[in-house]
Amino acid sequence: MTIDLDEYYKIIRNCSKCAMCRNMSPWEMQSKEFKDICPSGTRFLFEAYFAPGKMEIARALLDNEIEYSDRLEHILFACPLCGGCQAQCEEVNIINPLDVMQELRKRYVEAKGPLSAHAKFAESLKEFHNPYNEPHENRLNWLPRDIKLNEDAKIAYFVGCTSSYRREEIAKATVNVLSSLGVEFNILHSNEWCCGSPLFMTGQIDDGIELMNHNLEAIKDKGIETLVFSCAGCYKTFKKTYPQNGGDINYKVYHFTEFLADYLKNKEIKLKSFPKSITYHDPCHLGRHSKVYEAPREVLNQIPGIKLVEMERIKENAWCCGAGAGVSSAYKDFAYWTATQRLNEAESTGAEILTTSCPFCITNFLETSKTSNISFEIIPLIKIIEEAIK
Amino acid sequence: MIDLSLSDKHPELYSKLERIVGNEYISDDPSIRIVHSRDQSPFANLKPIPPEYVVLPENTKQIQEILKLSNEYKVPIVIQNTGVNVAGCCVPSNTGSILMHLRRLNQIIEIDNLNMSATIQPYVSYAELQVETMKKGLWLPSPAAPSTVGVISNMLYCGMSWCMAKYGYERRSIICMTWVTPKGEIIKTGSSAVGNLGNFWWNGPGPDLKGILIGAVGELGICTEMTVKLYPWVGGSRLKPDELAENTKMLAISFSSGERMLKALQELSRADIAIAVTNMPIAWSILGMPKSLETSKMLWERRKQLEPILKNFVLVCIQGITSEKQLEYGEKVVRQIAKESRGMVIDPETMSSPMAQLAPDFQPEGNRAEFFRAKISPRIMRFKGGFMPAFFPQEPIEKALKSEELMENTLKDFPIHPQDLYSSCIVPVDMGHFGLHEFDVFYDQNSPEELEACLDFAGKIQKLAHSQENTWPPHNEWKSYHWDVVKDIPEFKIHKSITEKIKNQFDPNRIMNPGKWLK
Ligand SMILES: Cc1cc2nc3c(=O)[nH]c(=O)nc-3n(C[C@H](O)[C@H](O)[C@H](O)COP(=O)(O)OP(=O)(O)OC[C@H]3O[C@@H](n4cnc5c(N)ncnc54)[C@H](O)[C@@H]3O)c2cc1C
Ligand code: SF4
Ligand code: SF4
Repeated sequence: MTIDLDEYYKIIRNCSKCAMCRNMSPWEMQSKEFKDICPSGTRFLFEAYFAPGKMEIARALLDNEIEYSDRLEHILFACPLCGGCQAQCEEVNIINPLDVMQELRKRYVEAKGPLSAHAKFAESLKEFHNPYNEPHENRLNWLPRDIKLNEDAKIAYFVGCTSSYRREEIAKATVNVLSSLGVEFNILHSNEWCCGSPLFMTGQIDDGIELMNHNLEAIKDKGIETLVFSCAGCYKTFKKTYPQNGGDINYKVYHFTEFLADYLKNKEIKLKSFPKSITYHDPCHLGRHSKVYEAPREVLNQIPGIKLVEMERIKENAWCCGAGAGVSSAYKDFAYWTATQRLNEAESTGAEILTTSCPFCITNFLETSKTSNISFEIIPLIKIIEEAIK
Repeated sequence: MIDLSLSDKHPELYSKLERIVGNEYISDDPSIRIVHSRDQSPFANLKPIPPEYVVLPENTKQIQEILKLSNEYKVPIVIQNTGVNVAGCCVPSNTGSILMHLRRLNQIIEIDNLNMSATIQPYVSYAELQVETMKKGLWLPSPAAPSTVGVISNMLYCGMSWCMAKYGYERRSIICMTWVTPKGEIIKTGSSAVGNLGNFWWNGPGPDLKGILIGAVGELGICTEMTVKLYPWVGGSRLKPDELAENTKMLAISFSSGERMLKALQELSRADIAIAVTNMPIAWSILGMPKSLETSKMLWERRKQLEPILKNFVLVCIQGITSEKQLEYGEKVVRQIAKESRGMVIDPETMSSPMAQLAPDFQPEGNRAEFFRAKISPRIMRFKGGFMPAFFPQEPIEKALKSEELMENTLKDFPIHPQDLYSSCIVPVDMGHFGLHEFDVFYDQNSPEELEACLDFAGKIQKLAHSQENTWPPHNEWKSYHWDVVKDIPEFKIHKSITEKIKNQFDPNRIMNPGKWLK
């Protein structure tokens, strides 16, 4: 939802400060150790970092009572916009704190410009169409030679920057899986640019819209009917952010877990056994932001041998990986701190593998795991499927 | 417009506080302070005052040191725990205050199975304590407030639950306390006061001092540790939102008149078969049960049609604590009492059906886990944004009917739309020998007229209660502006002069939460 903060003023004021959004749902809570839902407040402790505090800040900004300061910048941006607060608030009230916080960022950037870490990736996006300062011509370096793309296919795979440059194994596994299933598909080749999520999430909306317009044009040219994503962030951007910003999406958008869940339901596919205990992390962009909770679990449950052991905080109540919304670039330590909490929770399940369906979460977990003592592997969900389909 | 300028009265105070708590745990930034300038009460919204500093101490020792400093500089200190009070209790009444947030004191120190007790720090909420104790077959009933509230602050605030017929007011479960006085001394109450006897018994040497801290809204010191009584729980190690707790049964009874309902409430409480028994107000059912606000609003418009079933409505929760037979017996007793009072027993799963008939998108939610951790109560606040409850403990319980009538007459000309005024529930307490009668006002935080009207309401309702026999007017919800509300009641002057003496003894510099209890 995009909101006009001025019109929304009365609703913001009516935040009841019930604090339901500080913790996961009390009905589903299983332990004191894993009860928190808000990385920002739990890490920085002042009330201002929790959603009701941020609503009071929004009110004060609208009333011109406070001005931008370094601390306020930190409050607004040291938050992965995970939406944990919004999911809890939706149970009891109508405040939509996540939407308010996104608007606050937008206003901040309009007044003060982006954070320097965010301006850096914005520059890279302008020059190379990816946030990683990687040459655009290398975008397809991951593509296996033996993969057969069908230029006339109505299904396209939108790879995303992280899978293209940082988690190539995810991109490769996705095309391998699609090929193994006999799906006729194509990619956008060099016409694929960053979806713009890093910009939209850090308040740089106009620059994000430029990327959106390019991508939508590129897709239109190809006559695509179905777009499949391996990245939860790109998926959410197409599904929610583009329409909110005037983007016209008149084709189906699927996260690969949804695509596969449907596919496996409708086709007789023999899958190899994968005898491991696995715990699944709900990426915020796929879960809370897009409300896709069941598809990844359905896919995992279809693979013989897999024992799915859930963490305590799942689905609406999932604890964020910590990397999103510009946190990983601007506040690395905070991103690692948040991921450490999740790794500890995964460890407590006794699972052999932690998996998830977002390359950005995987990257943050893998980086964090280098300095933490964990006894499980971290494997992208698409890699597990690739193994089972081989 | 709020004044956020910092006084330069004590330029060195910040660095002294910083030395105590560490630089990560103190701030004088306007964006940190502004958040503590108001809460959702009409009191704090009319006169918002931000604190000068916000500090987050880690332990009792740091709290003592901060208190010593505030005495030295004569700077007021406001304590906030979970901050869910609906009465401006954690918002400064004076400029230049230090706001001390207890968030870092968040440990469950011990769950003692043998003594059926738990020792906790302030920031432990009911939900957190329950999830850990239920695993051990024990629990502590949670108030109908959002279960995010701290156990300690709620008990000191005279908290109440829907389980009071059996377990009494929340504070009855206090066994021992450690408390730092405004001067920084430590007081221990109950058996913890004596050497290393342990925290098992509420009775200490001499008079029981804990009563002084209960209801003092932070004016007489800070409780940093409390041992609370736990009770047997056979409902399973965790709640499941889609299922009723194990060995537990919920029954709903609809009565054709208020008299019949009150009689049954009393009988049900006296029979001591239920872990929870309450009259569920029609307002709470309609405003709290549907997941969507639109549905609530639509049902609220048509509430007349729901009155035959939901007006005099009682929910009873029974648990087979010792055996399945106990559960069967409990159910028989409930049904018998209902029959004698000509009540209609409905399966709670179908209690929502009259609402579903009126609202096709009605999604019933909440009656399975509601008694243990509430969601209905935070939901009712979304109706208009503001919610001000008023409570009257009344003895005997039948008096509730008379109050209701008086209330309706008094509030006829009230400037808030009458549909936002609601006479709501009657909760039996202590085996039904008295009842807690609650009246709610729903108001719009954005309307200065409605905020003012709420204050007017507070005064009127106190006087109204005072005019009746065996009704105790000042309950907990207006503590922070208490004297403003009750100053016209002559008997309170005596109480005031005694509490003034206690305050002067404990807090000669009047640094602690000034203006919340005594003016
Ligand atoms: C929708 C809604 C419904 C509610 N329904 C109920 C209900 O049914 N039953 C019920 O009991 N309550 C109910 N409440 C009120 C709420 O539970 C109490 O107001 C609450 O427990 C007090 O808030 P708190 O625990 O968050 O403490 P805070 O708001 O943090 O503090 C309350 C007061 O206690 C003082 N204080 C805090 N900690 C300490 C300490 N360690 N030592 C000394 N003083 C301290 C503070 O200075 C302040 O004056 C409801 C609230 C809401 C919003
Ligand atoms: S944002 Fe929603 S859940 Fe959080 S305190 Fe406000 S009303 Fe409650
Ligand atoms: S979006 Fe996530 S981190 Fe940010 S305030 Fe909400 S719950 Fe906290």
